[in-house]
Amino acid sequence: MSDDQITELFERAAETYTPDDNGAVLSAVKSRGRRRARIHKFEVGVAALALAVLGAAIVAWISVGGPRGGSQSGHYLSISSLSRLVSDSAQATGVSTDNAIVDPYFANARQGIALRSDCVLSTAPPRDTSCTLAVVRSDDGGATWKAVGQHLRVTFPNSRASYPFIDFTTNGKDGWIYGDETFVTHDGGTTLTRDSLAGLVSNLSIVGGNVWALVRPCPPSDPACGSRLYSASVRGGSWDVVTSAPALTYPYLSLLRPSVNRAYLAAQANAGLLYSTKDGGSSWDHHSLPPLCGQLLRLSADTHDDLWALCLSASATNSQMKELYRSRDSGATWSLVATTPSEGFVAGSLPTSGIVSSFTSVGRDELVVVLVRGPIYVSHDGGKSWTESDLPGGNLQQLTFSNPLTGWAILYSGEVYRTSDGGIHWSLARR
Amino acid sequence: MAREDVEFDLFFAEHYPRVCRALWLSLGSHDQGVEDAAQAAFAKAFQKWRAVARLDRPATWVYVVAFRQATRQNRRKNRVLPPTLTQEATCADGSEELDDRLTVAAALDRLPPRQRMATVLRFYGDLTNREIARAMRCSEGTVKATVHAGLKTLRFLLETREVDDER
Repeated sequence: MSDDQITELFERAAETYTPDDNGAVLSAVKSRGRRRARIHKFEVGVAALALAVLGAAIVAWISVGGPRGGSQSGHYLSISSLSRLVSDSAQATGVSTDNAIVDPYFANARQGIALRSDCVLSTAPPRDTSCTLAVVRSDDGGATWKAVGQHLRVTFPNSRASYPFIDFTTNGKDGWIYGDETFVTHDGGTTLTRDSLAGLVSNLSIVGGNVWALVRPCPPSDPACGSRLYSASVRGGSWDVVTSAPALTYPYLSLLRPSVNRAYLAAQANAGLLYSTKDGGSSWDHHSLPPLCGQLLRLSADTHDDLWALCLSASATNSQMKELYRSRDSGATWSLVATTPSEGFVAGSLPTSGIVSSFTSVGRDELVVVLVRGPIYVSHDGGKSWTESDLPGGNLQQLTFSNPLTGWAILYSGEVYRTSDGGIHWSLARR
Repeated sequence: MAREDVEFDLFFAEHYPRVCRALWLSLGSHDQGVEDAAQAAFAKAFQKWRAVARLDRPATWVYVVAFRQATRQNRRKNRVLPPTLTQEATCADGSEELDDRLTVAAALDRLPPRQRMATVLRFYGDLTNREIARAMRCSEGTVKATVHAGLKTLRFLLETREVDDER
């Protein structure tokens, strides 16, 4: 769906609302404005008078010797300290213009690598979007980030001043910036070159010495367009089509690769099938997913090859049915482990209110569910019980874990929080 | 009538309904909060009309003031997140158009408040990042990330029409 189409939908949705009659409102607005102007003039007059009185008092105080004169007691301020206070106050109100970082990868508790993107949206035709991209590194657990090499300047033509798709994945040394355009680095981000993949890369996964990319040669709005899976060596070289992989035409797909040989592919909505491979993509099976998964699906898998499916109802309200399933046989069979309250089911309970934003398994039994408006729920027993995190919800952009206990949360404000207990408690790492 | 009055009247007639609608899309409410904020902003614009009229985009100035006013009002009222817009919208014309309107409204309702506000200001208000940053009292970097996230979610919801599945 293009930005023009989205704008058109906004325009039509807005027409549903009709403000009150303009004539009467206009008169009221102008009366209010004139009244504000009179009050403002009065306030300015009072302030001027107060300043004049204060100025006279200061002059009088200085004339009798200031801090050294008269019978002084208690606290006082010299003019120099007053001016320092004013300048300190002015500095304290400055606003940081640091750009937020995205898609961080932490090799351990201290060293991380991420992408910083700064896009300038042109308001003049043809409304190109120009982005400056840089790989950044942190050596202090996410508190500070520094660019590691060249800045990449990319123009996305005629994008109607909107954000292109830009994502980043890396193993610390090899990495890809992908989406509408794709670039690769093999030296931790110091140098970036354009990759040979053509089309919209919706998912790119590095496992061991191999990298897979899910590529869609046309926009998501084209219903007849299918995604293809490509494979390449992480060291570079040409991309080869994984010919045995299913070509799916859904606009949004999940690709999971818990190991070099095992991978899963599924549509995120409007389908009920899961495709899996155990031999690195040479052959694929497919299995049915539980019924609710046909509406909305969030898949996750950890390195032990347990597969989790969080199935969700497509809700028009802020409430949503949620069912969490676990498979220990690559999706052949599923067991329900947690659900929104239902009669007779004795297991984990998930809240009905709230729309799921993301779902991640960070360990064998460690799970994190993020709701769009918060909160964040954490389970350390495979979904049987859930604890509400102390990280404020509704402002969370991204979660990433380097192990089941150590993780980072990137907020839309640019702040970075860190956890060392699997997501229950968080502390600020970067302001 | 003074020339400035005439200019303001024309400006008001052109932009007041649109500012109200932008606030409504962002806040999701039919109550007086929307029009209070819009009227307060236009009253301020009238008070400072000589200066506002000389700006490159006077309407943008009003958007910024109106959204800040709405944010202040919401904080004061300790407002609960707005009910779904689908429950309040009415339409007398074709059902397909109603589907589109309710789908967008329901999709917007799924966004966190700040994403909703930033997305509405971008795609309906046509504000730049700097202008949105002023309205939301945050940095341009934050606006970029917020709009990016909101747009990503909106595209997903509108592409798959999942917000419509239960109707």
